[in-house]
Amino acid sequence: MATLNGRRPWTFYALSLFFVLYVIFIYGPMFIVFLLSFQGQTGGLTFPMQSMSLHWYRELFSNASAGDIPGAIKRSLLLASVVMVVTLVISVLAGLAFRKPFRGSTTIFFITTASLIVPGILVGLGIGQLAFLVGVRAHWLTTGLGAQLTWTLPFGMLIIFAVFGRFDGILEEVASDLGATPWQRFTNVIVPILFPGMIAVALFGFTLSYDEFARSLLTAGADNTLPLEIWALMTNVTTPKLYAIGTLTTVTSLLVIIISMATIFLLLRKRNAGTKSSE
Amino acid sequence: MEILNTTKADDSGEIRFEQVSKTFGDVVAVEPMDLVIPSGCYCCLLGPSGCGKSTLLRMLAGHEFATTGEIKIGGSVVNNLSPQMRGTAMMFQSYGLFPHLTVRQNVAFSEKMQGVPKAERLANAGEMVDRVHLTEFADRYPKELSGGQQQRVALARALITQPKVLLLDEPLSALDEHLRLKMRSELREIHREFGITFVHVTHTQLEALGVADLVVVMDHGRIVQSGMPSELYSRPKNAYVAEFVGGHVLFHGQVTAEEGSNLIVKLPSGEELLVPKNNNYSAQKASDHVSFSVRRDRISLASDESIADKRTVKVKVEMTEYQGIYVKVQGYTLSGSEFAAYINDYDLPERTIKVGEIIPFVWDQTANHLLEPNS
Repeated sequence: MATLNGRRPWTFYALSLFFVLYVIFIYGPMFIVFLLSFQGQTGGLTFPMQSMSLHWYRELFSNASAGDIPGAIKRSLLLASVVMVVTLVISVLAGLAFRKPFRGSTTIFFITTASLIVPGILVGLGIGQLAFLVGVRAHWLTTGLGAQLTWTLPFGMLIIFAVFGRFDGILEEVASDLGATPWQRFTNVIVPILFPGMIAVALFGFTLSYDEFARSLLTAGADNTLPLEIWALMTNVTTPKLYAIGTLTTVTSLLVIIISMATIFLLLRKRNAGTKSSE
Repeated sequence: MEILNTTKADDSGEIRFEQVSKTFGDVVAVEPMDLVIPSGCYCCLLGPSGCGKSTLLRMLAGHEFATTGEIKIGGSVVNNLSPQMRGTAMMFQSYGLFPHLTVRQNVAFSEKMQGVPKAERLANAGEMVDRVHLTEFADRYPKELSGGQQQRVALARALITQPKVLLLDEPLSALDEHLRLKMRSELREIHREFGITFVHVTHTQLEALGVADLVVVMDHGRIVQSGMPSELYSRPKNAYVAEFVGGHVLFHGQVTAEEGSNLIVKLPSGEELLVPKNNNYSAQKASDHVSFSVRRDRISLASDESIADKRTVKVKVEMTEYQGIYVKVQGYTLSGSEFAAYINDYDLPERTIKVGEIIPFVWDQTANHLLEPNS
């Protein structure tokens, strides 16, 4: 961006300032929480920091503390993994099904994506009530799973449809011409090309589930997922232990993303290295 | 003159269509038709968009089921066989190279589907890559290659399956002019080298004339005429073929008399031309309306002496176009029909033809070719 005499216009500086303020607004609070989680033992929820310590982290994991953070973390991770796999499988299958228009395809599409506009808390309420009426006990891995899928499936399907849209259908015909069975077409042509999209769906599925609150609230049953546990504790806990929880949760999500990115990177590198070795 | 200069000794690549048709719902894409393509022949299916040539090719490839009829390759019926099992391989118009595989891996794909071990199939692929002169690109990805190179990869990938028939769907349409001419001769060379039957779909008549042993002209799902390029060019069956193949002038007139083996045809503006009778087409007697064609390159400017010859046709010139090896003179006859002639530029030494001039043209009347009505 430059004016005729080569210098940046004033709008550049104005917009840059706006961007800086935006970043501070988004990440500032998180950073404060992160900082305050290392509050000293005698410190309170606000500044000043008495000293730096890991006291509140230790509190988190000690048996004497209220709530069941480690348990909630384990449940959230497990549930998120299951949601990730189920979302991925269903989305890919949907993508394959929607390659050619079929009777009712538009209806199915709208029904699936409609759950995006319904408020999550109402979806949770509905499923919770239905479970009660039918006599099924609410549990995070059954009713909770179902409720979360209403949230992740539309995202997953939309991503896959977008990726399939750029997929050149002729490649399947070419593969068939060269002798590929439908399964071979799937593993040798569709999956390798759609791979980045599939990673995106998996990531979405995991993180949407891990952070999910509204739908899980009334369908998780007796044992809480992490967001529910944090919410429950927030009403009781008045110490920086809360900040430790927040930091820990953020770090977990960050780790998940870093691990997946690293996996993709290594996989792609291996694929290219495999090529060279065929010389 | 030998009919086909690359006929295989055996019939393994012979293609027969027997009463084959294709209907999509209510739309008839290909009407029931019969066609024999000899083994080892280079056959071009020629016609405008929508004439059914691509549908015919896809039925041959196994990517489309025939609604009726039998398709035979090498004597065996292949209607229900997969592309791989029927011995065909297709080179698609957009090539369809797998973007996530290198050139070598693309070519090795068919053997991978058959379960050939990695080392062996990559070695085989390497050999084929050498044969199409792409050795130094073997480990590149398709997006790094030029259009002509991509086409050679697509060819190598298809040929490695050792097909009896190679199918090409408008292979040269995506290339620029210069590359198109180069790839045309490459295709002929590959055909000569591998000796298998080629079926090549195109809408470009010069391309078909240039590469094919057998040209099949199609229109609205039917075969209008099939034969050697020279036959189609010198003796088009009807006005459609004459116009599509190009290079002809069409005349319409009425038969006034017969003179031995010729008809005397009178044009609306009064000229009387001599048209040899056509043994295949019987409706040729006095007062019939007929059409006939003349090759544009057989027509000459009438010199002062030959103006006295009543077989000249006067033309009002609309345009001249210099094309190097000839000058195209275009206009309308006094009957109002379109006219064009290819005149050698050394027949016009000091003479320049002006737009609007009315000039007489003359030619050897044996060049007149009677046309059947368009069916």
